Amino acid sequence: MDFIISAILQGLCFSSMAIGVYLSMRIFNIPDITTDGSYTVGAAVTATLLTLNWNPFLVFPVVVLVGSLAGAMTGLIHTKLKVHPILAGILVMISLYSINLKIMGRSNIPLINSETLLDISVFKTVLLNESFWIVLVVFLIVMKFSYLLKTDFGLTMRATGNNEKMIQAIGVRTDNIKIVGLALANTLTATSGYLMTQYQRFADINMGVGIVIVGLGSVMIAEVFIVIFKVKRISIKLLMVVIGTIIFQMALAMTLMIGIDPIYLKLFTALFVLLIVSLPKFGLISFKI
Amino acid sequence: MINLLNITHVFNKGQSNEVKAINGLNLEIPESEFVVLIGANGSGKSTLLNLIAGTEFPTQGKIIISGVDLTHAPNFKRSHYVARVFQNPTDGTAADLTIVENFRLAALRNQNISLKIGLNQKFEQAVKDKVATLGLGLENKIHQPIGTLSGGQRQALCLLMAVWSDLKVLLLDEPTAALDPKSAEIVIQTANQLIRDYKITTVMVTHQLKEAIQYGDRIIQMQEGKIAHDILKVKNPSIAMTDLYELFA
Repeated sequence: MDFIISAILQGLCFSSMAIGVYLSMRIFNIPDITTDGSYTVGAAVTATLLTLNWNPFLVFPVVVLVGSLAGAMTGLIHTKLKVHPILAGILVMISLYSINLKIMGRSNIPLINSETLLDISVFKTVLLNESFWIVLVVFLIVMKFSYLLKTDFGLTMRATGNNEKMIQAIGVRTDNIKIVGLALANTLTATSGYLMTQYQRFADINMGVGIVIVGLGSVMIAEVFIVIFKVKRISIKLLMVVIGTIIFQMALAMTLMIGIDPIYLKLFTALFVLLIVSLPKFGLISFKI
Repeated sequence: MINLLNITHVFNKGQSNEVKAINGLNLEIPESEFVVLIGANGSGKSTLLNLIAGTEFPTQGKIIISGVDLTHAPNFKRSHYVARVFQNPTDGTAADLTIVENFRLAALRNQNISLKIGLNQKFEQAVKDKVATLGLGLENKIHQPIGTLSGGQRQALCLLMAVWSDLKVLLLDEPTAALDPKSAEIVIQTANQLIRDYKITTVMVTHQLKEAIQYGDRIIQMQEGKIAHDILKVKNPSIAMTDLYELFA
């Protein structure tokens, strides 16, 4: 039971990042893998500031700032220097490795005595309290982004990934839209780092390795549901991404539960994503990859 | 309305494959005139349209629209003046977005884009009413992704979207070339209707000489980057397709 609950909470922590991946890969059609770095930078900033006894509410804006800077950097390299987005993302991700080490000062920071967001007492039991804060943050993110995507600005964002030429013809600088969009996506990713660090009570320089695959897998599970249930409303789509992330974490928890060596966790993550992306090939379901 | 002064446009300047697409062209188009550009492939008519649209900039010369010098203004800066309908309807619409969302985007052409929800009930109703005037029965499908419609339907909607908010110049880039004859007929008639109703200054590129004669006020035939013939319909009311065909010889 504990296993399942912790998989759900971990899934919720990751869901912000998965929404970020959904934003960049699906709405913008930009394969952005800055994610691995911006997740860790969110974690590094959170752990470092919390050990300096910062209030967790004040840590959050800093996380938002560094996340958006990372994304904007990838966006600038891609749009202004005309570098392929994958390469732009790798460059920023690799640079962030050094920056994260510099921020943290060492490769691992445990949060044993620091008060985290999840420690702020609302309910009596620890579990309920942790769940409350994590669910609240995820709920606010889903609400905020479903609103954003419905606004005129959001409409322009969605259309930029669809038909850039048309959007330029209506007088929009699509470069700017892409930079803002990547900044938003990586802010979401950094927010996942912020939540996860406080949930697992440590930050590690390598915690972001392969995290973009977790996001991608979660988004694809979500898309299976979006196709099956013919979801049209953007808020429900984002909710599906959250559910997709939880299912993904559950699946990984199951593999551990049946006694598979944790060493193979990343291998199983990759195999699981491979399985999902190959579904259309077997004619089981059709969605774009 | 549109003044093109001594325009020259050279591709690959200074290289062995240098091409003078436009060569010292002068053209004045008065307000609400419907100009049709015809000419052989490579005669420079598409380049001329790109120069007016601002997706390319002339090597020499000036482009003045509605009294404003827009020679070097990129396309997103002249969207207040110029709207364009592309040859391929997929270029003018965002396929995964619904009809009404596409119209909302078109409505943003002359506005600052804000963090407000502009796609409200009132806007939806306005789109429904406008779309109904096309007589294609699309007013009941406004929440359908526009990519699910046929090319002709999409192109008709593109025209309607182009004239949704104020514009000075409408550019039509072979708007019927990708369509079957029946859809082409509907689209060109819709275009003509909108152009006359709203008195829009229009430049259309086409290979369809019949369209040129039937709908244009003025037919300009281009050759090697220059205007070879400039025919005003009011002065030559009896001009026939064979006459135009002769010009290509």
